[in-house]
Amino acid sequence: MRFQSILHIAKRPGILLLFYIFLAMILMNFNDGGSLKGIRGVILQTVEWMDAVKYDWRSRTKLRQDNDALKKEIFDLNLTNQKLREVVLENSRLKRLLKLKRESPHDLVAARVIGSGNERGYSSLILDVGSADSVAQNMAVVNADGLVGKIISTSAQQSVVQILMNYDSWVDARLENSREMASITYSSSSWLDLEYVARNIPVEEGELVNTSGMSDIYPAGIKIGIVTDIFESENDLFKKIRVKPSVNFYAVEEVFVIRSAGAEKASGE
Amino acid sequence: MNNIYWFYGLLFLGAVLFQTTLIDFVQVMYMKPDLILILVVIIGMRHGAVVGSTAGFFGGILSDLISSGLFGLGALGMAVAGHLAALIPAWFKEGGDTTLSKLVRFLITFFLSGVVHDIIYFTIGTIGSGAPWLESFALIIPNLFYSALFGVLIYFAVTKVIREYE
Repeated sequence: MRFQSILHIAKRPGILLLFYIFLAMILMNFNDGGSLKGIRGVILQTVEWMDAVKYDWRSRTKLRQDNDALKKEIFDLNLTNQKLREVVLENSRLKRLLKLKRESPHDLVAARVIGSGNERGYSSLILDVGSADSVAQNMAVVNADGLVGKIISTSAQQSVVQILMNYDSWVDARLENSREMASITYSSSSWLDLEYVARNIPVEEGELVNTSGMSDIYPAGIKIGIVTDIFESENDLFKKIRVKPSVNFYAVEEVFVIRSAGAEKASGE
Repeated sequence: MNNIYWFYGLLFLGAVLFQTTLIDFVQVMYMKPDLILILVVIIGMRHGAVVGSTAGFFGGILSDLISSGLFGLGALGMAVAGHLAALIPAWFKEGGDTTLSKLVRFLITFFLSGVVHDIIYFTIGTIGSGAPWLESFALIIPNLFYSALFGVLIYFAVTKVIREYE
């Protein structure tokens, strides 16, 4: 009966609240108790442990994000590095071209190779200059290494170069030491053929072959290549001579077109 | 009915765990939601003053255990807040039972109960410490607003679960 009446009183909200307030005040007096400190210590240790787990998880997440960001940065830096290397190489090529332009007695037009035609035996290059730049058919094309070819057609902004490694190419040449005249043609493979050199003419491997200047297209003294192989036969009037071109036609990026007044009129050599 | 109290017990446990470990994820400047206060107010509103003040008292003890403040102070403040959370909605009985009126009722109840809880907590907590009471109190108002935002979400979620039990 007594318990029921206590329960009845406890169900009255105001009295219960007062009871809780009273209880809370008593608890406040035990604030410095050793057992409370112990319980709080255990709880705080647990919280600390959970915090360490959280910190570890956060660190891993951050580490992963940093790792991703660094990977991207490395990729970007590699790309920049690659671009800078390209710029250095281009700078070196342009310096050589500038030197050529300064030293050349000819009227040169700088051009960039923007394409190529790689039909076997009929290779050509496409330049970003054309008739609007006063470039015309049959003008010689050179770079810092030597003779590249000649212009075979033009439009207003572009032109096509027939390189030396083309079956239709024919250049009047001169051997540097003997001063003997000959012709440079292309038959196949990666070398040029020096034709019409008589058997009695002394030719040495490594000898330079330049343009002879005997045509309206190619001015004299432009380097074509060097003699690499010489073949002689009792039955032939002429020697068979292989010439390694001084220009790497597959890596040409910038060239000069030699502007000459009579270019259009010149017939192909 | 007993299942609901187990459910509340689990909610309190989850709230304590969240409050001690993951609360920084939802911290904005210095404002952190007081999850235990939110639960006490919700329980007070749903189940009346007896259950509300009881939940407040024991929720406050939990809160005191994980804090380094005066032990029993949280229990006192929360018990009063739980009791008030049961009384305040009665003032708005005429407001109807729409979602908007429930929302407004919860916000007003939470805010008033929260203010009373904080007044008790900071008044008794700063007695004799020389701490600037007014400045402390000014800081807790934005915190209460922030807690109220969380409270709305928890209120509707808990109400939905409780409705399924009942």
